[in-house]
Amino acid sequence: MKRIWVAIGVLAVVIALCIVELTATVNITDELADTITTAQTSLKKGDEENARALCRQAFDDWQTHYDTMATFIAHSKLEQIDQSVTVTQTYLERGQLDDFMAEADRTRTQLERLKDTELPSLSNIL
Amino acid sequence: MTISFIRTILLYIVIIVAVRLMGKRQISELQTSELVVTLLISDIAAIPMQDTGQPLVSGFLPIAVLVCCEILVSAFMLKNMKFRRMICGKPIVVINDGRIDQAQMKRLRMSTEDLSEQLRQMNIFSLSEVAYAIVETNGKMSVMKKPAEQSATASMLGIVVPDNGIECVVISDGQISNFSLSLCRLSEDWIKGVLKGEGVEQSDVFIMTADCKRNYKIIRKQDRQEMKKSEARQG
Repeated sequence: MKRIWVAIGVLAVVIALCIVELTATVNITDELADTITTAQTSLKKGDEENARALCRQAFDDWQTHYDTMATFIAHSKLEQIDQSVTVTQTYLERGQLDDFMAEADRTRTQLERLKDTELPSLSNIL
Repeated sequence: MTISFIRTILLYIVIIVAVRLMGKRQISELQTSELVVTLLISDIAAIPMQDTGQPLVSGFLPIAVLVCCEILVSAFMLKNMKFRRMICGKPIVVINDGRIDQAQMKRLRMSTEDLSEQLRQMNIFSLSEVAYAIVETNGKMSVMKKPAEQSATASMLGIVVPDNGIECVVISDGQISNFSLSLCRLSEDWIKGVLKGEGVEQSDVFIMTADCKRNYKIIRKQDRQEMKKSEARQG
Protein backbone atom coordinates (compact mmCIF):
# COMPACT_ATOMS: atom_id res chain seq x y z
CA MET A 1 0.00 0.00 0.00
CA LYS A 2 2.87 2.34 0.85
CA ARG A 3 4.37 1.78 -2.59
CA ILE A 4 1.11 2.79 -4.25
CA TRP A 5 1.02 6.05 -2.33
CA VAL A 6 4.68 6.72 -3.13
CA ALA A 7 3.94 6.04 -6.81
CA ILE A 8 0.95 8.40 -6.77
CA GLY A 9 3.06 11.01 -4.98
CA VAL A 10 5.89 10.73 -7.48
CA LEU A 11 3.45 10.98 -10.40
CA ALA A 12 1.90 14.08 -8.86
CA VAL A 13 5.35 15.67 -8.49
CA VAL A 14 6.21 14.76 -12.09
CA ILE A 15 2.97 16.31 -13.38
CA ALA A 16 3.61 19.45 -11.32
CA LEU A 17 7.17 19.67 -12.72
CA CYS A 18 5.83 19.33 -16.27
CA ILE A 19 3.37 22.17 -15.71
CA VAL A 20 6.09 24.36 -14.18
CA GLU A 21 8.46 23.61 -17.06
CA LEU A 22 5.84 24.38 -19.66
CA THR A 23 4.81 27.61 -17.97
CA ALA A 24 8.43 28.70 -17.57
CA THR A 25 9.27 27.96 -21.21
CA VAL A 26 6.22 29.80 -22.53
CA ASN A 27 6.79 32.82 -20.25
CA ILE A 28 10.50 33.10 -20.95
CA THR A 29 10.20 32.72 -24.73
CA ASP A 30 7.25 35.14 -24.92
CA GLU A 31 9.01 37.72 -22.76
CA LEU A 32 12.18 37.52 -24.82
CA ALA A 33 10.31 37.63 -28.14
CA ASP A 34 8.35 40.68 -26.92
CA THR A 35 11.54 42.49 -25.90
CA ILE A 36 13.11 41.85 -29.30
CA THR A 37 9.93 42.94 -31.10
CA THR A 38 9.86 46.16 -29.05
CA ALA A 39 13.53 46.74 -29.91
CA GLN A 40 12.73 46.36 -33.61
CA THR A 41 9.77 48.73 -33.32
CA SER A 42 11.94 51.31 -31.53
CA LEU A 43 14.53 51.07 -34.30
CA LYS A 44 11.87 51.58 -37.01
CA LYS A 45 10.74 54.72 -35.16
CA GLY A 46 14.35 55.93 -35.17
CA ASP A 47 15.03 55.42 -31.45
CA GLU A 48 18.34 53.55 -31.75
CA GLU A 49 19.34 54.14 -28.12
CA ASN A 50 16.18 52.52 -26.80
CA ALA A 51 16.59 49.65 -29.24
CA ARG A 52 20.12 49.04 -27.96
CA ALA A 53 18.96 49.13 -24.34
CA LEU A 54 16.17 46.65 -25.10
CA CYS A 55 18.58 44.39 -26.95
CA ARG A 56 20.96 44.43 -24.00
CA GLN A 57 18.05 43.63 -21.71
CA ALA A 58 17.03 40.70 -23.93
CA PHE A 59 20.61 39.42 -23.85
CA ASP A 60 20.82 39.74 -20.04
CA ASP A 61 17.40 38.08 -19.58
CA TRP A 62 18.48 35.21 -21.81
CA GLN A 63 21.69 34.73 -19.82
CA THR A 64 19.68 34.76 -16.59
CA HIS A 65 17.18 32.18 -17.81
CA TYR A 66 19.66 30.00 -19.70
CA ASP A 67 20.76 27.94 -16.69
CA THR A 68 17.17 27.29 -15.65
CA MET A 69 16.13 26.22 -19.12
CA ALA A 70 19.21 24.01 -19.52
CA THR A 71 17.89 21.77 -16.73
CA PHE A 72 14.95 20.65 -18.87
CA ILE A 73 15.72 21.51 -22.51
CA ALA A 74 18.47 19.95 -24.61
CA HIS A 75 21.52 22.20 -24.80
CA SER A 76 21.68 21.99 -28.58
CA LYS A 77 18.27 23.71 -28.86
CA LEU A 78 19.34 26.50 -26.51
CA GLU A 79 22.72 27.05 -28.13
CA GLN A 80 21.17 28.12 -31.43
CA ILE A 81 19.10 30.76 -29.68
CA ASP A 82 22.11 31.75 -27.59
CA GLN A 83 24.10 32.45 -30.75
CA SER A 84 21.23 34.34 -32.38
CA VAL A 85 20.67 36.60 -29.36
CA THR A 86 24.40 37.38 -29.18
CA VAL A 87 24.67 38.11 -32.91
CA THR A 88 21.53 40.28 -32.85
CA GLN A 89 23.01 42.46 -30.15
CA THR A 90 26.36 42.64 -31.96
CA TYR A 91 24.77 43.83 -35.22
CA LEU A 92 22.93 46.60 -33.40
CA GLU A 93 26.06 47.68 -31.47
CA ARG A 94 27.96 47.91 -34.78
CA GLY A 95 25.18 49.83 -36.49
CA GLN A 96 24.40 47.07 -39.02
CA LEU A 97 20.70 47.79 -38.84
CA ASP A 98 19.47 45.66 -41.75
CA ASP A 99 21.40 42.65 -40.44
CA PHE A 100 20.04 43.35 -36.97
CA MET A 101 16.44 43.28 -38.25
CA ALA A 102 17.01 40.02 -40.11
CA GLU A 103 18.74 38.38 -37.17
CA ALA A 104 16.08 39.64 -34.75
CA ASP A 105 13.39 38.03 -36.94
CA ARG A 106 15.38 34.79 -36.91
CA THR A 107 15.72 34.91 -33.13
CA ARG A 108 11.99 35.43 -32.69
CA THR A 109 11.27 32.50 -35.01
CA GLN A 110 13.64 30.28 -33.04
CA LEU A 111 12.02 31.29 -29.76
CA GLU A 112 8.59 30.59 -31.21
CA ARG A 113 9.77 27.19 -32.44
CA LEU A 114 11.28 26.36 -29.06
CA LYS A 115 7.97 27.15 -27.40
CA ASP A 116 6.04 25.10 -29.98
CA THR A 117 8.27 22.05 -29.57
CA GLU A 118 7.74 22.02 -25.83
CA LEU A 119 3.94 22.15 -26.05
CA PRO A 120 2.18 18.78 -25.63
CA SER A 121 0.46 18.95 -29.03
CA LEU A 122 -0.48 15.90 -31.05
CA SER A 123 2.22 16.49 -33.64
CA ASN A 124 4.90 16.76 -30.95
CA ILE A 125 3.74 13.65 -29.15
CA LEU A 126 3.54 11.58 -32.34
CA MET B 1 34.54 13.50 -17.98
CA THR B 2 33.77 14.73 -14.46
CA ILE B 3 30.24 15.55 -15.52
CA SER B 4 29.77 12.03 -16.93
CA PHE B 5 31.12 10.57 -13.72
CA ILE B 6 28.75 12.54 -11.50
CA ARG B 7 25.79 11.87 -13.80
CA THR B 8 26.51 8.14 -13.80
CA ILE B 9 26.52 8.05 -10.00
CA LEU B 10 23.28 10.05 -9.81
CA LEU B 11 21.58 7.83 -12.38
CA TYR B 12 22.83 4.73 -10.62
CA ILE B 13 21.23 5.94 -7.38
CA VAL B 14 17.99 6.70 -9.21
CA ILE B 15 17.94 3.24 -10.82
CA ILE B 16 18.55 1.54 -7.47
CA VAL B 17 15.69 3.53 -5.93
CA ALA B 18 13.46 2.76 -8.92
CA VAL B 19 14.15 -0.98 -8.81
CA ARG B 20 13.72 -0.99 -5.03
CA LEU B 21 10.40 0.79 -5.39
CA MET B 22 9.21 -1.76 -7.95
CA GLY B 23 9.75 -4.52 -5.42
CA LYS B 24 11.66 -7.77 -5.12
CA ARG B 25 11.54 -10.14 -8.03
CA GLN B 26 14.18 -12.21 -9.72
CA ILE B 27 14.69 -11.65 -13.41
CA SER B 28 13.34 -15.13 -14.16
CA GLU B 29 10.13 -14.42 -12.25
CA LEU B 30 9.24 -11.12 -13.88
CA GLN B 31 6.00 -10.77 -15.76
CA THR B 32 6.29 -9.58 -19.36
CA SER B 33 5.41 -5.96 -18.56
CA GLU B 34 7.88 -5.89 -15.66
CA LEU B 35 10.66 -7.24 -17.85
CA VAL B 36 9.93 -4.63 -20.51
CA VAL B 37 9.98 -1.83 -17.92
CA THR B 38 13.26 -3.10 -16.43
CA LEU B 39 14.94 -3.19 -19.85
CA LEU B 40 13.52 0.21 -20.75
CA ILE B 41 14.85 1.77 -17.55
CA SER B 42 18.38 0.65 -18.35
CA ASP B 43 18.15 1.98 -21.91
CA ILE B 44 16.68 5.31 -20.84
CA ALA B 45 19.31 5.78 -18.13
CA ALA B 46 22.10 5.28 -20.68
CA ILE B 47 21.06 8.29 -22.79
CA PRO B 48 21.86 11.16 -20.39
CA MET B 49 24.78 9.12 -19.04
CA GLN B 50 26.50 9.20 -22.40
CA ASP B 51 25.22 12.51 -23.79
CA THR B 52 25.98 15.39 -21.42
CA GLY B 53 24.03 17.69 -23.75
CA GLN B 54 20.82 16.02 -22.60
CA PRO B 55 19.37 17.31 -19.34
CA LEU B 56 19.46 14.79 -16.50
CA VAL B 57 15.72 15.27 -16.10
CA SER B 58 15.25 13.63 -19.52
CA GLY B 59 16.46 10.43 -17.84
CA PHE B 60 14.88 10.80 -14.41
CA LEU B 61 11.42 11.69 -15.65
CA PRO B 62 10.74 8.69 -17.93
CA ILE B 63 12.19 6.32 -15.32
CA ALA B 64 9.96 7.80 -12.60
CA VAL B 65 6.87 7.61 -14.82
CA LEU B 66 7.59 4.01 -15.91
CA VAL B 67 8.14 2.83 -12.34
CA CYS B 68 5.02 4.57 -11.05
CA CYS B 69 2.88 3.21 -13.88
CA GLU B 70 4.24 -0.28 -13.24
CA ILE B 71 3.41 -0.06 -9.53
CA LEU B 72 -0.10 1.25 -10.17
CA VAL B 73 -0.76 -1.35 -12.90
CA SER B 74 0.48 -4.13 -10.57
CA ALA B 75 -1.77 -2.86 -7.80
CA PHE B 76 -4.76 -2.72 -10.13
CA MET B 77 -4.03 -6.22 -11.41
CA LEU B 78 -4.36 -7.50 -7.84
CA LYS B 79 -7.86 -6.06 -7.60
CA ASN B 80 -9.13 -6.85 -11.08
CA MET B 81 -8.81 -10.39 -12.45
CA LYS B 82 -9.94 -9.41 -15.96
CA PHE B 83 -7.31 -6.71 -16.19
CA ARG B 84 -4.69 -9.13 -14.92
CA ARG B 85 -5.65 -11.67 -17.57
CA MET B 86 -5.45 -8.96 -20.21
CA ILE B 87 -1.93 -7.91 -19.19
CA CYS B 88 -0.36 -11.19 -18.07
CA GLY B 89 -2.45 -13.81 -19.81
CA LYS B 90 -3.32 -17.00 -17.98
CA PRO B 91 -1.49 -20.24 -17.27
CA ILE B 92 -1.88 -22.86 -19.99
CA VAL B 93 -2.07 -26.58 -19.37
CA VAL B 94 -0.01 -28.42 -21.98
CA ILE B 95 -0.14 -31.87 -20.38
CA ASN B 96 -3.50 -32.66 -18.87
CA ASP B 97 -3.90 -35.88 -16.90
CA GLY B 98 -0.96 -37.47 -18.70
CA ARG B 99 -2.12 -36.41 -22.20
CA ILE B 100 -0.34 -33.78 -24.28
CA ASP B 101 -2.69 -31.01 -25.37
CA GLN B 102 -1.44 -30.32 -28.89
CA ALA B 103 -3.84 -27.42 -29.47
CA GLN B 104 -2.45 -25.58 -26.45
CA MET B 105 1.12 -26.30 -27.52
CA LYS B 106 0.33 -24.86 -30.96
CA ARG B 107 -1.21 -21.81 -29.28
CA LEU B 108 2.01 -21.30 -27.33
CA ARG B 109 4.14 -21.97 -30.45
CA MET B 110 5.82 -24.64 -28.35
CA SER B 111 7.49 -27.50 -30.16
CA THR B 112 7.96 -31.00 -28.76
CA GLU B 113 11.67 -30.18 -28.41
CA ASP B 114 10.77 -27.16 -26.25
CA LEU B 115 8.53 -29.32 -24.09
CA SER B 116 11.17 -32.02 -23.69
CA GLU B 117 13.83 -29.43 -22.88
CA GLN B 118 11.73 -27.83 -20.15
CA LEU B 119 10.95 -31.23 -18.65
CA ARG B 120 14.60 -32.29 -18.72
CA GLN B 121 15.53 -29.08 -16.88
CA MET B 122 13.23 -30.34 -14.12
CA ASN B 123 14.97 -33.74 -14.15
CA ILE B 124 12.06 -35.42 -15.92
CA PHE B 125 13.28 -37.58 -18.79
CA SER B 126 10.09 -39.40 -19.67
CA LEU B 127 6.71 -37.96 -20.65
CA SER B 128 5.03 -40.93 -19.01
CA GLU B 129 6.08 -39.56 -15.59
CA VAL B 130 4.06 -36.37 -16.01
CA ALA B 131 0.46 -35.98 -14.86
CA TYR B 132 0.14 -32.22 -15.41
CA ALA B 133 2.42 -29.64 -17.00
CA ILE B 134 1.41 -26.00 -16.87
CA VAL B 135 3.13 -23.11 -18.59
CA GLU B 136 2.85 -20.14 -16.23
CA THR B 137 2.34 -16.52 -17.24
CA ASN B 138 6.04 -15.79 -16.84
CA GLY B 139 6.95 -18.59 -19.26
CA LYS B 140 8.18 -21.09 -16.69
CA MET B 141 6.75 -24.59 -16.57
CA SER B 142 5.28 -26.20 -13.46
CA VAL B 143 5.04 -29.98 -13.42
CA MET B 144 3.15 -32.43 -11.29
CA LYS B 145 4.33 -36.01 -11.58
CA LYS B 146 2.05 -39.03 -11.52
CA PRO B 147 1.65 -40.41 -7.98
CA ALA B 148 3.65 -43.55 -8.77
CA GLU B 149 6.56 -41.42 -10.04
CA GLN B 150 6.69 -38.99 -7.13
CA SER B 151 9.57 -39.14 -4.68
CA ALA B 152 8.73 -40.75 -1.38
CA THR B 153 8.23 -38.33 1.47
CA ALA B 154 8.66 -38.96 5.19
CA SER B 155 4.89 -38.88 5.74
CA MET B 156 4.37 -41.54 3.01
CA LEU B 157 6.88 -43.81 4.75
CA GLY B 158 5.40 -43.12 8.17
CA ILE B 159 8.61 -41.59 9.43
CA VAL B 160 8.42 -38.84 12.03
CA VAL B 161 10.94 -36.12 11.22
CA PRO B 162 11.88 -33.68 14.00
CA ASP B 163 10.81 -30.12 13.26
CA ASN B 164 13.69 -27.78 14.08
CA GLY B 165 12.05 -24.84 12.41
CA ILE B 166 13.89 -22.48 10.14
CA GLU B 167 17.66 -22.12 10.25
CA CYS B 168 18.92 -18.57 9.88
CA VAL B 169 22.21 -16.75 9.70
CA VAL B 170 22.15 -14.90 13.02
CA ILE B 171 25.69 -13.48 12.78
CA SER B 172 27.22 -12.52 9.47
CA ASP B 173 30.76 -11.17 9.38
CA GLY B 174 30.60 -10.20 13.05
CA GLN B 175 27.23 -8.43 12.81
CA ILE B 176 24.11 -9.76 14.53
CA SER B 177 20.99 -9.91 12.34
CA ASN B 178 17.96 -8.88 14.38
CA PHE B 179 15.66 -9.98 11.57
CA SER B 180 17.05 -13.52 11.69
CA LEU B 181 16.81 -13.55 15.49
CA SER B 182 13.12 -12.66 15.36
CA LEU B 183 12.54 -15.30 12.66
CA CYS B 184 14.08 -18.02 14.87
CA ARG B 185 12.54 -16.58 18.04
CA LEU B 186 15.96 -16.14 19.62
CA SER B 187 17.42 -13.29 21.63
CA GLU B 188 20.66 -11.38 21.49
CA ASP B 189 21.38 -12.43 25.08
CA TRP B 190 21.21 -16.09 24.05
CA ILE B 191 23.65 -15.45 21.18
CA LYS B 192 26.07 -13.71 23.55
CA GLY B 193 25.72 -16.55 26.05
CA VAL B 194 26.58 -19.10 23.36
CA LEU B 195 29.57 -17.12 22.15
CA LYS B 196 30.82 -16.75 25.72
CA GLY B 197 30.43 -20.49 26.28
CA GLU B 198 32.38 -21.21 23.08
CA GLY B 199 35.05 -18.66 24.01
CA VAL B 200 34.52 -16.71 20.77
CA GLU B 201 34.28 -12.96 20.31
CA GLN B 202 31.40 -11.71 18.16
CA SER B 203 33.84 -9.86 15.92
CA ASP B 204 35.68 -13.16 15.21
CA VAL B 205 32.58 -14.89 13.86
CA PHE B 206 32.33 -15.29 10.09
CA ILE B 207 28.94 -17.03 10.10
CA MET B 208 26.78 -18.27 12.94
CA THR B 209 23.60 -20.14 12.09
CA ALA B 210 20.88 -21.16 14.52
CA ASP B 211 17.42 -22.68 14.37
CA CYS B 212 14.28 -22.48 16.50
CA LYS B 213 15.41 -25.44 18.61
CA ARG B 214 18.60 -23.58 19.50
CA ASN B 215 20.89 -25.79 17.46
CA TYR B 216 23.74 -23.65 16.24
CA LYS B 217 26.90 -23.71 14.21
CA ILE B 218 29.74 -21.22 14.36
CA ILE B 219 32.34 -20.65 11.67
CA ARG B 220 35.16 -18.40 12.73
CA LYS B 221 36.91 -15.89 10.50
CA GLN B 222 40.17 -17.08 9.00
CA ASP B 223 43.13 -14.94 9.93
CA ARG B 224 45.26 -13.40 7.16
CA GLN B 225 47.93 -16.09 7.27
CA GLU B 226 45.38 -18.87 6.84
CA MET B 227 43.74 -16.99 3.94
CA LYS B 228 47.11 -16.52 2.21
CA LYS B 229 47.90 -20.23 2.62
CA SER B 230 44.49 -21.10 1.20
CA GLU B 231 45.04 -18.80 -1.81
CA ALA B 232 48.52 -20.27 -2.38
CA ARG B 233 47.11 -23.81 -2.35
CA GLN B 234 44.45 -22.93 -4.90
CA GLY B 235 46.78 -20.80 -7.01
